[in-house]
Amino acid sequence: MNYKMWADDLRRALERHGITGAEAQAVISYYDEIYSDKRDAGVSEADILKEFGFPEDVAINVVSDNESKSQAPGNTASEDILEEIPPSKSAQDMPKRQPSAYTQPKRYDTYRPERSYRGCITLLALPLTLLVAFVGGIVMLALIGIGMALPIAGIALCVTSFFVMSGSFGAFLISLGSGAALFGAGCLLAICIINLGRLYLKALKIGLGIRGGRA
Amino acid sequence: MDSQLKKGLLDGCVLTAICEEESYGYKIIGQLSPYIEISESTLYPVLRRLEASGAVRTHNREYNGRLRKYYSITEKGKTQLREFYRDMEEIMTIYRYLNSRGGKL
Repeated sequence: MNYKMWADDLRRALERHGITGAEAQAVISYYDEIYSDKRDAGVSEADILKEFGFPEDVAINVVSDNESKSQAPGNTASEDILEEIPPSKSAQDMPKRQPSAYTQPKRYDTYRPERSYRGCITLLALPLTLLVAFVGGIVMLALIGIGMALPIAGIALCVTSFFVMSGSFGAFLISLGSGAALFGAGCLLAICIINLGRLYLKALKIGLGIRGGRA
Repeated sequence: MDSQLKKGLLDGCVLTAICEEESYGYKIIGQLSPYIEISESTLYPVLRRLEASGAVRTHNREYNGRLRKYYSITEKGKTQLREFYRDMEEIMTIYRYLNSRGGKL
């Protein structure tokens, strides 16, 4: 998870809560600026995302503030009490900070393992990714070889069939049919290999991308 | 702390943070966090509310190749801040009264 993904999640969360256009952009720009300032101050991307919290919670916070603003403020009992008590000239014994739900957004990575285990996972992920990439690469090369060999063999067989045509018409037909079948099988395999190759590259990219994001 | 009370306190704290000189989001959080729990997600609604009420005005300025939004207090904001300080004195009076009657139980 990187900041861009977080910001995209936030944009979608805001959209789900009915905040779009300039209002959504203002929220995103605010977080862009804070993110850049924190990065300039040397804070890591992972720590910044932890501090930002879940995009869904950020969106809810924005929405709840909108809703509370739309409610008409009325006199409360506490305001009435304030009117009764004369003002004081001095202030002391400020209450100490207490954590509250209002100022404590949920951490964005609460589902992640503890920091002490993260290093081990990263260390394991690197050789595992390389091993999978190596084995996958060999399999892919073998498949590409077969995929290229089959159509070539098919074409060769078709060409050869014309040479045996003078000897036996049956042998010609068998040879031509086999050549065409090999060529067709080779083409189908090539299509499969192309799609498999795409999946392989995508998986490789994701695997390396996850390691980079956590670093 | 009650969320409504916290909102009121945050408004006053943010206005105090920018009453002497203009400031920006990250700096405001840095200034206030030793005294009151504040995060990015709590500061944003406060700034927006203050801006919408005319207590704060904003302008963008280039910094390090990017735009940064600066917040400065308006006359209306200063009036609001003076009222906030008066309210705080009243709250402290209430606190002392409550503390003397039963707060030490």
